[in-house]
Amino acid sequence: MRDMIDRILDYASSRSSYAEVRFTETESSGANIRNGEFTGATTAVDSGYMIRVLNKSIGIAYTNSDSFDDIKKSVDIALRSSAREGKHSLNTDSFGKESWSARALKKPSDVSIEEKVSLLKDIDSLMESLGCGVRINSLSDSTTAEIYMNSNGSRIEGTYSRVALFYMFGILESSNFEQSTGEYGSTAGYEYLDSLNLEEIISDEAKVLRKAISAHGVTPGKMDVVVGPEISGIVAHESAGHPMEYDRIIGREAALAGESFLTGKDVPFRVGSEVISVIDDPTIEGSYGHYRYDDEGVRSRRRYLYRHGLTDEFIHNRESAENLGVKPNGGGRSSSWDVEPLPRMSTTFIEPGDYSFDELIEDVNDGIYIKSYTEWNIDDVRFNEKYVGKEAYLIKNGRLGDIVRRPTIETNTINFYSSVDASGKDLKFFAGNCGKGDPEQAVPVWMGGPHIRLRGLYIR
Amino acid sequence: MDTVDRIYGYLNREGVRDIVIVRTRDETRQLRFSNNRKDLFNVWDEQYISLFGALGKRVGSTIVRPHLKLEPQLDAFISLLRKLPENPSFYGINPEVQDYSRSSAPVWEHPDIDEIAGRVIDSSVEAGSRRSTGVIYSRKSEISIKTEFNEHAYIHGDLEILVRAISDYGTGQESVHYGPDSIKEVDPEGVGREAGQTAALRLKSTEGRSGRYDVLMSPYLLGNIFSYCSMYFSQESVDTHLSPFESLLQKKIGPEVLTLHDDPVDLSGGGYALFDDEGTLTRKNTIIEGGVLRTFLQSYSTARRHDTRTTGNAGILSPHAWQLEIEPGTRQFSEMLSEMKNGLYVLNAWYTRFQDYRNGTFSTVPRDGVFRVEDGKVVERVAGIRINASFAQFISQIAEISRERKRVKWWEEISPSVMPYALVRDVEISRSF
Repeated sequence: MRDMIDRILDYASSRSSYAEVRFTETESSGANIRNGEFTGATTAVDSGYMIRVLNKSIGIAYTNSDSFDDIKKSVDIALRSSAREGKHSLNTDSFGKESWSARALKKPSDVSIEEKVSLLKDIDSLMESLGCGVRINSLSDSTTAEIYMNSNGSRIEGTYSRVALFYMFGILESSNFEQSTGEYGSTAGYEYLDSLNLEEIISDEAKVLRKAISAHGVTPGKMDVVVGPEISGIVAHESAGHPMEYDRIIGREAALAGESFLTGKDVPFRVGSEVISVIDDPTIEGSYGHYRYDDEGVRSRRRYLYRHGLTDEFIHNRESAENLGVKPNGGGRSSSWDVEPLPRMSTTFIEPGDYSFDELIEDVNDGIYIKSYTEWNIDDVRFNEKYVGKEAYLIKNGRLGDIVRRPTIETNTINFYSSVDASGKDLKFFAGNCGKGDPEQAVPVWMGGPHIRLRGLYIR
Repeated sequence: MDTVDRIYGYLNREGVRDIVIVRTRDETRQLRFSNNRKDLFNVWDEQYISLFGALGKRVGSTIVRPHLKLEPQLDAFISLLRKLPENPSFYGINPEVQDYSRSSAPVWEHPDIDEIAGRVIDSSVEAGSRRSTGVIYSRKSEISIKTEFNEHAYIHGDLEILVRAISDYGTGQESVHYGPDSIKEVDPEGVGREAGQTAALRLKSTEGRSGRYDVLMSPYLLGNIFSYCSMYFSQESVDTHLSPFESLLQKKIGPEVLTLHDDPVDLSGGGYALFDDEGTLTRKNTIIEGGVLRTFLQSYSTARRHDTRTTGNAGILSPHAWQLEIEPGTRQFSEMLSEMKNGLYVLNAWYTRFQDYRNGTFSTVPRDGVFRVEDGKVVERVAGIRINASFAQFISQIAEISRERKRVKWWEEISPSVMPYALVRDVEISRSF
């Protein structure tokens, strides 16, 4: 296979001003259980080559053939198109010859299907014992090996495993329904799932749903709000991470996931209060979005997206970096071998401050604590956003009060970040899969942050 | 012996039943452009053999790599099946021999998508767009299936043209799909022009207000909502207690003007399929007829659970819609618009998310053409609003349906479908504070 990569690169680079070849092989498995019934298991080994060529424009061929003649045919089609006019900004640097691997103590291949099924059954049984009439549980894992080479001498090899658990459960009372979804993922082995106290997490969530289903809504109005790490995490992802992806700013995603409210703005641009700094960091070992080199062979590093309320560094792949005239910063990710690398997030989080949870609450006379969320969405420039609370309590005179049902934050990015006056010293991460690109690519990420306090936000 | 036959023979000898082998060769081409210039040309050549099988009620699936030794891969799959618990809801794959004699699709020739993109961009700019961004796809897949009972193959081809036009006044978007029966109708200029014209409408933009409004929904917005909510018509969702229509079969769930089909045999759209995932011939199914819920979508297995027949919508374990079509109404779009006293006209939406999967309670964010209508005229652009609804209630609020329809398909937000314009009464609109 290494010989084949060399041969493909020789062929492509001799017919283009720059070429790169990436070979990726991913072995994956999954199992599902719904309302107590095991539905089935899947396994797959998927591999293939991505060959990118640069001439008057950029062409990419994706093929999983093992025949050089077949591969050549696909490359020739990409070469022919790249001979036509188009954009052709692409960083072509070499980032050396390196190999890396992420730590996995209990590798997916060392965990039997019986153990995986047993884990799913235990979770399902627990949910059933808690009175959850709707239960969906999925377990998945993957092990990936990737080799990236370009015509300027770069050769990067990486291997990593990922494990993930997804659940959705709900409580049905008459026609009322309350649901909770959970996603736990890590670039690691099954030791990650072993480290979670799922019994406590799920039991607590089910108890909250039971209370929330008959709770009253909130009286709409402006109030002080404390949000939990799950919400600060999704906000960091949606309204700091996405708008700072540089391909969106220059309009390349406009027809799909959209642009950015920062398009056309002079930077640094003030997005919020001094308290707010948002970081994207692929180097956090064990995080769901961890990698040492991205899928374009660029070394990853921590990036401040917002620093003290001002925009700081964009997320780049090779193409967007060249467009701006900067070096790529390790943000080029592909969800699988057969899709192009795009500027993507990894672990995006609001930087913690120095308040304890009690200190955040005690200074609120009449407000609300929204710990977690259910429905959310945001417009295509990442400005007008909505988060519906899953677990939430009124705050009266600095103390938590009654639980309330589905309070809604519907605000905009500047207003949200500008309303933050204090940030907790805690930091918690949550896993997710982030969608972008066409074909759509869901890449694993972590989102996180501390508890943060916002003054005078409209809640309904 | 052919690889598929070898796989089948080996598994069969080892006692695996309900074998489904699908071989796919995908030769797709895509061109992406933004700011009126080509960004990237993508070409795919992928071959897969996917495999489903069961030992009794123990079911699993895998991907076979034909260039590697088959036996170890198949042994690993059989070993996996032996270790799995049973799926009590699995009743096998469809044993009925299918008559594929009239089921075929013409050969697909890739059009020049570079050239199509150029025509789309030029016409969009000519109509008033300052920046045009989009994607052109030509998909071609050779698909063959072999089961214990059936065997068939065809070539699937479709073309998709997506353009988003951006001017100093606003945005517009068109995203249409073509199958082999409509490929001669491809009109890149028309698609680009329509998006450009929407973007170029010189109207002032105002922040929207919360409240309840009559909303004239374009085929895109309707397509978005029905695409996301099509899961509620799957028997699997019903059985999981995740459908608001659980006990409403043969009951009225919408107005008389609403008739909804799933039509995978309409080869004018890109969402066609000649057989489902277990080899059953697909067919046009009427899901809602004159407002009455007529069927849930079934595979053989889900149908057996409910003593009915498959509708040709496998997903063996989880049936799904192929290509939704709402029957045309009697009204003209222009009449519907001109009769609107005070309401909204919304062309598209995205990021549809649910706070209550069981009852279908969702919100979605309008984009690419959101207008306030006063006395039958589009008077201003509206920004910053959100549509909030529950799907069952939403359906019942549909008051009028247009004669005109469009073949809409957009990214991951709208599945290939054929949708009209619809007037929906009393829709809850919220805005950001």
